Formats: sequence, structure tokens, C-alpha cells
Amino acid sequence: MKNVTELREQLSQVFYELRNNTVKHTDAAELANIAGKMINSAKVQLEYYALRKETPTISFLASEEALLPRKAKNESK
Amino acid sequence: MESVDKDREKKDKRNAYRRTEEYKAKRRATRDLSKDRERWAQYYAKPEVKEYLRQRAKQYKARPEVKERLVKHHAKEYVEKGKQRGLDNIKNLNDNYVKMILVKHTNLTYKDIPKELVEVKRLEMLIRREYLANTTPTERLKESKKKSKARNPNAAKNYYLANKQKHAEAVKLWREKNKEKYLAANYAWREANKEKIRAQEKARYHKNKENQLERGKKYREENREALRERSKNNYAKNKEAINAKRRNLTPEQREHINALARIAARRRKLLTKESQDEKRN
Repeated sequence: MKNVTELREQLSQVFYELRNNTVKHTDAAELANIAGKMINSAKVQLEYYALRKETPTISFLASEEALLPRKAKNESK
Repeated sequence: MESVDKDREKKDKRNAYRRTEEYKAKRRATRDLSKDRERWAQYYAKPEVKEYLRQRAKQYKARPEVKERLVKHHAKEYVEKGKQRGLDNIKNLNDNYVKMILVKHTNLTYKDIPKELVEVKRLEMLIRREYLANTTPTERLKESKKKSKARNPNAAKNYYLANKQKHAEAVKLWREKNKEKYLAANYAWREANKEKIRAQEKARYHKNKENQLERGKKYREENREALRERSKNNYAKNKEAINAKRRNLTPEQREHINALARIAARRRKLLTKESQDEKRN
């Protein structure tokens, strides 16, 4: 999982499997726990930059969509 | 009058220009908003400004029409509706609720949280909710214990060894302090479970009967003289008490003791006879 989009996909898959009883609850909870750690680390990074009044692109939070230039986005629409 | 009209015209013209997008864009490009924000923050941090704002809010709330509106706003149904809305937000994991959780205990604002992070957090919370809904607290506790044991198998043993003396002292102190209470509780428990205890003891006795008898026999043979000496000394020491006890015996008890004494005498006689025969042979 390199970025937040991949993490989201992974988590949604786990949730889907959990609903279908193909994954154990304990295993899913473990995965959610790890995801929580990742989210918290991203949060800390965000807070650090907010305190320094900087706005760099955080590689973990920058999804492919977000990295596209605005014009290209609008064109695709 | 002409000059006044001219001034007004000038002002109107200026204001019209200020309303245009061109002017706004120009202003946005040239003006540093962060500096403005800092300046405003400094202004609002002043104690006299704070006090002024507080007073103004107080005066505003004291106005009868505002008071009435506020009362209406805080009427029961409004409060209930608000509560319901809050509960729904929690239930549906609304964006603002998730953001609130992410922002808690940090210096972040809602604007700082990107949309992707909110989505991921929502999914994480959903999985956690599912896990909590489908497991009992005891199961979770068991699981965590299992995990901690796997992580550090000797933790409990090490802790016990490290605090053994301390723990023993603490128990001793507690027992001394709560001796009567402890004994009373123990007695009560024994009274309540009398039959159970008796059955257990009986079962244990029958289970270990032969072993115990053999062990006793062996011990008596090994320490025969020491035992005899001890009983002699005991009798000499508590002679009066023993005799008094004997005097107060019931006929049945006396009969029992006499029977035992007869058996012992016969045994002694037999033993002496055997030893005499051995000597003769």
C-alpha cells in the first residue's frame, strides 16, 4: 500500500469480505488496527506541516487524481 | 451642492469598480491574506477587544426579542432534533463526524483533512464496529491476552519472580489486617459448602487410603522411640488435665478407650512372647 487510495481499496475489500463471512473478525480488526496506525501517522505529518504553515504534497495522501493538473482534470470532465 | 454630487458620483464609480471581478482578482493577487489573518488574530487576542466582544454579546442576548428567539431555539423539540441529528451522524459516519474524530486532540482544522483520509478513516471505523458487534468483551480480552502471551511468553513468570517477595508480604499484611474478616468469610464458606467439602475429603481419603496408612506405618516404625518419648513427656506435662478429661468421659468413650488399651496390651504381650521365643531359639 503506497498511498491512501490503495489503502482505501484494500479496506473496502476487507469490509466486503467481512460482510460475506470470508474473513475472520479478528483478522479484519488487525488490518483495521494497522490502517489506523497509518492514518495516525499521516495525521501527524499533516499537523506538522500545518504548524509550520507549509503546504507540500504528502506522497501518502496524494492520490493519482490529486496529482493531475487542474486543467487536465477539467478537460477530462 | 454640485461638489457634493460630484463626490457621490466619484464614490459610486469607485464602489462599482470594486465590485467587479477584475478588481477582486487584482486584489487577491497583490494582497497576502496570511498577513491579514495574523493581524486579525492579534487584534482579537487583545484582552480589551475580548472584553468588548463579550459585553456586546451579553447586551445582544439581553435584548427581549433576541431572548425570545433564543428560548424558542432552545426549546425541547429543537434540542431533541439536534440530538437525533447528532446520533444519525454517528450512525452513518457522516463526513463531519469522522473529521471531528480526526481533528480531536490536534491543532488541525476540518479544512486541513483531505477527503481521501476521511474515507479511509470511515472504512476503518466500519470494520472496527463490525468487529465489536460480532465479538463479546470476554472474547476480546482472551484474544488480547493470547496476543500478549505470544509476544512475550515469559512475562507473567518474570513478573511473578520479580515481585514474589513483595506480593507475599502484601498478602501477609492484608491477612493480618483483615484476619477476623477473612476467618469469618472462610468459616461462612465452610458452613455453606459443608457437605461438598466432606464429600471431597472422603473421596480424597479413599483415594489415598493405602498410601497414607503405609506412610504412617513406616513413620511410626522409624520414629517409634521418639514417639514413645514424646507421648511420655506429654503425659507427664499434662497429667492432671488428661486425668480430669478421663474422669469426665462418657461410658461409651471409656469403653472405646479400654478396648484400645486391651488391643495394645495384647499386641505388646505378643511382641514380648515373640522376642522371648527368638531368644530361646
